Amino acid sequence: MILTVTLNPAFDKIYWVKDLKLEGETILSRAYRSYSSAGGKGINVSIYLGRLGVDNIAMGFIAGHTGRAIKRSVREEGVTTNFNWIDGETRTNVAILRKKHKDRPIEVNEQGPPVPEKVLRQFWTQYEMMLKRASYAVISGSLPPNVPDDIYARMVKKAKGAGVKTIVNTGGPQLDEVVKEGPLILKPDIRESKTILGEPLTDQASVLRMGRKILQNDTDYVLVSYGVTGDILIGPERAWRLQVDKDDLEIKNEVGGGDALIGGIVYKLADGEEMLEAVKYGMASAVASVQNYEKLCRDMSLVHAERENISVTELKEEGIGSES
Amino acid sequence: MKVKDIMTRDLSSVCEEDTIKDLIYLLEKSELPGVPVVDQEGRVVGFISERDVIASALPDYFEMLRTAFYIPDINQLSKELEEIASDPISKHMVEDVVSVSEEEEDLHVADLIIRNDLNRVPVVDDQGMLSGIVRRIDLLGALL
Repeated sequence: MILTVTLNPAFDKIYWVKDLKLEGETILSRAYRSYSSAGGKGINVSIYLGRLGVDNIAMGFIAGHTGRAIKRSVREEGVTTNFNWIDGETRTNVAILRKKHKDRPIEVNEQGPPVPEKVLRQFWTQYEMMLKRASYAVISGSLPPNVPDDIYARMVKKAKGAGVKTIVNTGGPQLDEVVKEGPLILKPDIRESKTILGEPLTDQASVLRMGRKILQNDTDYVLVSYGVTGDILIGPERAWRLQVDKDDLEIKNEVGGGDALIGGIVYKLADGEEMLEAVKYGMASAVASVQNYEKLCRDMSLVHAERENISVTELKEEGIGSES
Repeated sequence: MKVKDIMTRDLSSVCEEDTIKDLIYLLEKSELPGVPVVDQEGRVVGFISERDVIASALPDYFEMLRTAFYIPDINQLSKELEEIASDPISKHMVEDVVSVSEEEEDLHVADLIIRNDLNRVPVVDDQGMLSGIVRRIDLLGALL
């Protein structure tokens, strides 16, 4: 059983516009396509796994009509739900994709409702209960208000104590905290800040330096998405660059691509696959997903096809490993 | 059809030591009429619904008279509720809980629901751990 934790779920609303009018007399932009679905990083991973028929449980805090819509839609994808309810309304996150713009989507994410202390306590009880059923726990996303920055670190510690392997995908202060506990895989979210642990990520060498800094603690692997088409995996002794070699790659919807990556990785790891192969499969899942308008690719034959387009190069690091 | 084909895979539940106030908060927010009660391991040890809370807060003679006419005013009910608000759920839950396994047939669940006048039946695995719930509407939906 795979457990996913999304403390700050969201309802994702994605708009495709021909042009985004930000200045001038008329500022109305009309979407020629729109898409909405349950979201938040862990929930996306759960949906991905549910579509593959993999038993998984989604946890987190939900509220109001949006919370109910999320719960229903996640369940319809074959996911077991175990959410904690709070006051207010679960957030809605908006992404705007501009036609013919190759740059990243414009994303506006709400903060989310605060979590009352008593519900947080109940969450911990449920979390420990769910760990007894899990082999892997995917912990990802932002934190809602009123939740301490070290919660992910504490969750990793509890999971390790229960013999559950963890994959953490997050940014901000909670990332600094979780580094101390050492998950199996740590994927820093660099959408908001490209400086991780005081290291500005400007090139491949800086990514490797940052990765090595994280691995000094107990983390086994660091994974960094370098745009949509390149990932860097840094392991205890070796590091690799995974690159998509595809000239006709047409990105239609980048939202959820990183979660398809994590979904593919945990799916393969739980199936007994080696780390590098699992990451390759995850990357194929991400590439297949971003070429669809719908978030997260449903067609697994496309994922298998994309694996053929991914090359793996071992990276040379000073004092570590060798160049292949 | 088997239970696993029609069940709702939701693990919403409360622990025995949670309070009635916690339960009311959960039922109000989630709009669920009742939830299974689990122990620290996640095993189902009871069930509690809004009906059970009302029954606990009402005077004993209510069950016999089946009318609210003899309750002096709503404040009395409020006072009774306040009195049990901090009670552990275990004090008011139904302990003799009816549950089914995922492999059981839908007809068996339908029979249990009708005979026991239930709205929801917890689904448990072979160790008694909660794995979901079968609602009356799940059965109706499967039958249509």
